[in-house]
Amino acid sequence: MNKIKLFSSLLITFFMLTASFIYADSVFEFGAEVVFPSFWEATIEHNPPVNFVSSVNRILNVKSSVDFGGYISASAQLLYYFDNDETSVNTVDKGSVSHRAKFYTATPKFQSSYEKISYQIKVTLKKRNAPDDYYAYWPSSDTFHTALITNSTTSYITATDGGTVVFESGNQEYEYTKLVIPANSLSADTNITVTHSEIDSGADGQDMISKYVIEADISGTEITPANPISATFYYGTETNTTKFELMYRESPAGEWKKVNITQTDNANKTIKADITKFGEYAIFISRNLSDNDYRPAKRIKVKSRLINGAYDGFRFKYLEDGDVVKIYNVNGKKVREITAGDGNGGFVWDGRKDNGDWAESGTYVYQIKLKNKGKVISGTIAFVW
Amino acid sequence: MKNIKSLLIISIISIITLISVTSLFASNIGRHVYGLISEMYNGAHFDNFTQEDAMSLDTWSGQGMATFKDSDQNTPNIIEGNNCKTIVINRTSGWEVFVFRPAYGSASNTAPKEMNLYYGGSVKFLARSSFTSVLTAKVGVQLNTSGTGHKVKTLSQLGFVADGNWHEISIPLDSSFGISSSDDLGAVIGLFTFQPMTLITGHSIDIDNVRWVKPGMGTFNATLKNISDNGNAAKITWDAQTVFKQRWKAADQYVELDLDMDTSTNWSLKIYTNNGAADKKGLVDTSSGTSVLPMCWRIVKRKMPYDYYDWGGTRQQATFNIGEDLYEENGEIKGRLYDAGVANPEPTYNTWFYFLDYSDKNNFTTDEQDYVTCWKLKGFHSAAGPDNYWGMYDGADDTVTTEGRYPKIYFGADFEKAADLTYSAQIRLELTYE
Repeated sequence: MNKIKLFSSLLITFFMLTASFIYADSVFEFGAEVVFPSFWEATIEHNPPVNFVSSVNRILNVKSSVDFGGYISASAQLLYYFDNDETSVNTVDKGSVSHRAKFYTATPKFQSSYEKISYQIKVTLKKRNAPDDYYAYWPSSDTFHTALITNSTTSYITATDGGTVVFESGNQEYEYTKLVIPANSLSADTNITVTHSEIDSGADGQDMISKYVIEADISGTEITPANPISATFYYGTETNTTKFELMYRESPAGEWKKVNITQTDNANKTIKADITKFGEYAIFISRNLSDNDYRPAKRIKVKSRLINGAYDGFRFKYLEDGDVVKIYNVNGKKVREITAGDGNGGFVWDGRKDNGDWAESGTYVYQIKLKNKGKVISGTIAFVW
Repeated sequence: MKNIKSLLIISIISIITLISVTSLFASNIGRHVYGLISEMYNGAHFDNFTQEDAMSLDTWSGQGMATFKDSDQNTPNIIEGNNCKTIVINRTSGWEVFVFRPAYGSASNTAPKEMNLYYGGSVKFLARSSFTSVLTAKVGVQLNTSGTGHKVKTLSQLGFVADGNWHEISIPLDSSFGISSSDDLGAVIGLFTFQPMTLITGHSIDIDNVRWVKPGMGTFNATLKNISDNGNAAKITWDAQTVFKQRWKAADQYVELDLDMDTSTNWSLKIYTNNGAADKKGLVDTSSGTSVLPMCWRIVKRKMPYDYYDWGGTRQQATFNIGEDLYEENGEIKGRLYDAGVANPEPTYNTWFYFLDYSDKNNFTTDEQDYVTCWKLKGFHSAAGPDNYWGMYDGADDTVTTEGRYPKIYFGADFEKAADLTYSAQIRLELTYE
């Protein structure tokens, strides 16, 4: 029994000592590793793809991104597209994108020329010194992506939910024309069509640079004025961004009325406005004209050259219906009054009097009366025989 | 058979008893080591305690005969961390005792601590004084409120030498100190008590690294973890595509250090590559073994990145942005690595260290010892230089109590000369104590 007691107390001691003896490791080893392969896969992303190209301006401007790295040497990133007959393939070459032992992401833009009928697109990354070999393709090595030529887009929008209509112009460098229709803005569920129309000629002092027609197929569909459609209009490649005007008319026969522009974004070449009517929307560049802009560029004209058609006379520019040009001789007698333009925003004095006879050789005073500005611009010209 | 049956019963009883004892003492604070005035250990910090510990430093001095104060920049040669405490005698009469109470909130709110598991261990501390008057001071613990509750001995009895040098003093928590059993440690009300008895104005003693230590070894662990999710990791890695041909880049892992063992004054943690050759002090290509991408390491007191205030009150950052500054010294081009993300961009505080290889450890110069020592009693190696070892409490911005104090080692490598190869390295962490 004593032996058992002794043994048991030793056992207890052993357990207690074991519990408190936790030996620490004195050495810890960790592995470190990094693997650099010789070539990282090159990938081309074209997202979102160009699905449509506007028939109005026919600019195919494709943005794609390329990721590649490692020891890679690429001679070019190319955009392929078919010509009119869909047999010959043209390319736009972005030039060398060679990089060695680096990682690179490129976002090149390609621009095709105008007047192609259809576009089949493929983007490739071509190997240097291996003309027929490529690192990457989009969409794939043996397929093309189709971008349809179009001038309109239609989306079905429910009155309850609203929605978005996007007109793709094919120019991915900038923003597309877009309508954002809020919920409960429309009076009916309807198809809404946005058409990119050819531009009309500009009015005096204003050039039309872009025009869209917005239509609902349910006749009489209305837009709630208190809950308007937010419209973004792509105005094109105009670089004169000093002043835009957005005008609206209900039909081609109607009068243009001004629409308030809420935002101009020159980086994306868009203007924004809240619209409450279906119809035509046109973007104008409004020039700030000085008095000299209206005056004839040449102050001396020779009769013989008028006769042989070298020029058409003294041209008074940027005038519109309602404006008047009067020509006086040095005695103050009016010899000619011109009230109509030549259809090209200019009024021309061809050197003849109101009765059709040639005016005498000499100095004449002109007066330009601008109806809308309520001002008179004067000057002198010389008509020489 | 009968004997075997008895033995079995006794074994089972032992196990049950052990489990019961452990659960009975489960409310003991600290782990293997509980730091009171210490910058090495988790647990009670340098008098900045957690609510869970319900501890505070109650420095009661009857009639103001002594002052218990913090060290400052004029306190020389602090060997544990960067702070110590000093007891200074103010007057020649009075009744006093300093006690390190387990009081929460105020001195009157005592909450005795169960410290039973420390029985058989010791209370240790560092002391320094050049005044022999302190030899009669008594140190120890206060077990309870009775007159016999103070278990103390003089510093002289404990072997202290007042020669102006630091000495380690050990108070055994056993019968030799009047503590007869673990039961005596069931409700400790003074975890460290100091009674200066000889009162000579101006005389002083420095105290540091006061800690309770359980019997046995304790543990030290180093765990590799992912920076992203703090989960355990198998290897130190980098994202190849991100770092290829780049200058110094931090790895995606860190090593978390967990110290729960008592350390001697010569304790240190050293770090090397272990690639078998002096020049292979980095990532080595696995094909020819000739191409080496240099590696570096850095140790910080908490997870990076983080902001902090330095002693000058300037906002600083600990970031993964590794900068390298090359300079010429005695005709030799040398380099130093610094945190390029800090507010002051000049590389004056070089926080990263180039790796050296373990095979070369016998050839290290004094300067090179700096490159391999990441943690020691003085603290963890915050920046190059023999003085830049800092404890877990830095005073200027001690805001880490909620996340604990587990120093972390981060890694970096220079990939500028990387080629299309596989590179690997072995990293060795070595605990040394003499």
